[in-house]
Amino acid sequence: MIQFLRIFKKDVRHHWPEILISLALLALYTHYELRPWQNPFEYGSISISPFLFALSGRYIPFFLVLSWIFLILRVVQSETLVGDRQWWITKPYVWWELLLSKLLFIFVIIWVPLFHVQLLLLHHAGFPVLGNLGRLFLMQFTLPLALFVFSFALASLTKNLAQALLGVGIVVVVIIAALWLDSGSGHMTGDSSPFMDELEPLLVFASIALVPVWQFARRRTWASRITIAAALVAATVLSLIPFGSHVEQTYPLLAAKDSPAQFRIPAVPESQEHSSGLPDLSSDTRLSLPVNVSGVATGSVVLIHGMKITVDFVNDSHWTRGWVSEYQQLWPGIQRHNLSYEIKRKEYERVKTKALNLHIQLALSEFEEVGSRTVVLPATTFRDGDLGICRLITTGHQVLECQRPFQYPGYIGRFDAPSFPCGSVRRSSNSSPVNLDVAYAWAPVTDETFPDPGLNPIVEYGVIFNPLQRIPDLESPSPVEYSMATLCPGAEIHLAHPALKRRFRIQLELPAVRLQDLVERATL
Amino acid sequence: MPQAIHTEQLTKRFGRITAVDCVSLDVPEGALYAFVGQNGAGKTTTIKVLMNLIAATQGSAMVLGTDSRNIRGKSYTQIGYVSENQEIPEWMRVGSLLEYLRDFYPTWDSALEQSLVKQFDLPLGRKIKALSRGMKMKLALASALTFHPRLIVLDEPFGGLDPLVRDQLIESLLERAAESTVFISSHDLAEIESFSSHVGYLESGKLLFSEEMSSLATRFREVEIITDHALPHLPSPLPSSWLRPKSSGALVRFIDSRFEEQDTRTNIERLFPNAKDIQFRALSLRAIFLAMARKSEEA
Repeated sequence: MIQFLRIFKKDVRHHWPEILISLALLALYTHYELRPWQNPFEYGSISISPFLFALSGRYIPFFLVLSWIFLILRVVQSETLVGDRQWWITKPYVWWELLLSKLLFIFVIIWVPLFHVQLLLLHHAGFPVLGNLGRLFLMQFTLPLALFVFSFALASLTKNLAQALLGVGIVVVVIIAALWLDSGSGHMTGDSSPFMDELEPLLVFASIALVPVWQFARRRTWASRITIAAALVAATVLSLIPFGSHVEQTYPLLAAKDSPAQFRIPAVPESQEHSSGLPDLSSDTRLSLPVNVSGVATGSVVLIHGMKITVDFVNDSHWTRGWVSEYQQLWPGIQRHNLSYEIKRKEYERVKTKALNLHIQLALSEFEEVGSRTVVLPATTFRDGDLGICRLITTGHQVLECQRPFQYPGYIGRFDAPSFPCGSVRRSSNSSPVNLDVAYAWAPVTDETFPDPGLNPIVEYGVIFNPLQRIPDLESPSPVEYSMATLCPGAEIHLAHPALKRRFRIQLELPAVRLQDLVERATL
Repeated sequence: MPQAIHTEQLTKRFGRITAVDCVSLDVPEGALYAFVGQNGAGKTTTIKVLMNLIAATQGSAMVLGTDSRNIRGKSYTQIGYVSENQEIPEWMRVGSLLEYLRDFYPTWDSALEQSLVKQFDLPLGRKIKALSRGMKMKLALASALTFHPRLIVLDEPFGGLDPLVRDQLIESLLERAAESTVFISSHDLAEIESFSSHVGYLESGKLLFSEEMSSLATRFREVEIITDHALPHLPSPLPSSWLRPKSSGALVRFIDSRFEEQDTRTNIERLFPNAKDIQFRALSLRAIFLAMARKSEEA
């Protein structure tokens, strides 16, 4: 018998209890995933007890993944590559046959059953299996591959479960530290260069995929561990390097008057700085900048991605924190938004009472509708070419729940409530200065060639129609009555695919303003 | 004579500690080489370097004509390695382990396997974790002998075994010695003295000597001199090959590590002109090593 088959056979014989547990969990997972609409969007629903939550099967994917990691650790560590006392290293094992036997084990015991379950889920959800086979294969290169590669690397660099747990702990600490550093930097999402965006995951993936091969061939444990650690550190450092100039290249400057969204900064009222009574220990002060937005064309949406404020000081010096993330959706109609920007407390305290000139830059993108269509909502489920199979959530009033293979679609949705008697609820209010009778739904376009990571090929998602807070008349007093869009069977919704029209940057000026008038204060 | 093992200036350091210090040795093919030294002398480390289980810091080693850094995988179809520290898959049964190993070796001898199973009284149906230490060593040795290896490397194989098991292992080893080179490490001199053809002595990582057992036995002699009156002190300087010289009244005793009867006698007559009786006695391996070890400690 070929050596790798012999080792494989031995591993199956040795690890049959773990194999049975993993297959039982997979069966349980399949049982729960086969139930349609299992994760309803229960907005405002009461919290479920942990016991019921466990019963609902939501923990099963976690335990399933855990059982796979455990199985991979056990099978690889049964011929551990760490140390010099193992019995097998002085036997005629050929390293690549040993490696192949472990990969074969993962393929046959974990991957093949999972793939069959995925085919079943696809079929059961009502999507064609053959037509989706290619993308189902591609899907294996997302979460399953990442999971197997990570577990395999962990198993090949550790001697036993205790060491593996320690390894996981170290990886978790590194990830938390990287996230903490990243959040502290406040960099705008996507401000790294495309090259770096590709390089970071490639560096991490290549190291955790290739180092175990080297470890199998040469059993140089510490060298392998150091190589992976170095790759992780390098990727973390790369992710922390800001590439502000790249933002300015990606978002070319547009004259404010040519912008598809017109911004007006209302007069900033003077405020006396007052203490909330609680000591503020943060090192930053958050500025809040109100803006009124109008002019977005019907059939478009403009998104704010990032913001940069430059402050002119009296001595001709400037201060800026650079580009930071700021996400807002701008729809047709007149709306009020608040833009937030953090400034170092030390800087703020120095100049808060002085009248300063603020130069505000916004990085924006404009999307327009493509392939727009009108859908009359039925009382039961319906199919849509883009959204998949959907149904109206009757409890939430503003949500469509949909299922689609492999990935969340990008969409623009609009619902004009006043046209449908069932679609608007009138409510009285003494304080709300808004109308809520038009609701919009939005999801960005994703990379359509590659499936989203996951175990289940069917993604379940909500198309959430958020009523837009439009300001009816900026000068008039607040209305005492307003209406709010509510979806109902028979209502017509407008759906379209979003197409990126352009990215651009605009600059707004806010002269002679005191920073203390812009400070966002917590309401007690 | 071709060498089964050949090392040159082999060195292994762990941080500041030098476990193996410039060891150069030759093990001729067909030899039954006893690699001896106290616990912690560096025997196991040397063997691990030879077997490519750990990397040398300096120097080189050839095992069966192959650079030790390339000893892996298929090389072990010619090398049978047994160590007291090896982690055998204890979840397996004795029979299934032998069955599993059978296909790894093109030269596996099923008849010999059966014979060794019978000779060692191995319980084929029992799980390895339920075996005694002696039984585990028997199983390890059986699995290392059954494919007729050209080189058998045994690292402290007899430690903690009862005499009966030890004799059984030695007996089976000697039965195979004609077709293999045996390299056996031990700190227990008595157990290997009787059957080794060559011996190497390691002390604090340094190889103090490596030679044929017969020449070693000839080279070392305990010398006893009786003089006609008590000596107040030993004459100085004494030859460097005289180890642990002691005098007590009219009696002088030392171990000559380069014994040639005529030369030794001439030296004695020069240094002890009033010697009236000179006795030469052969030494056991144990006595030789103790003398070497004490000399090294004194140094």
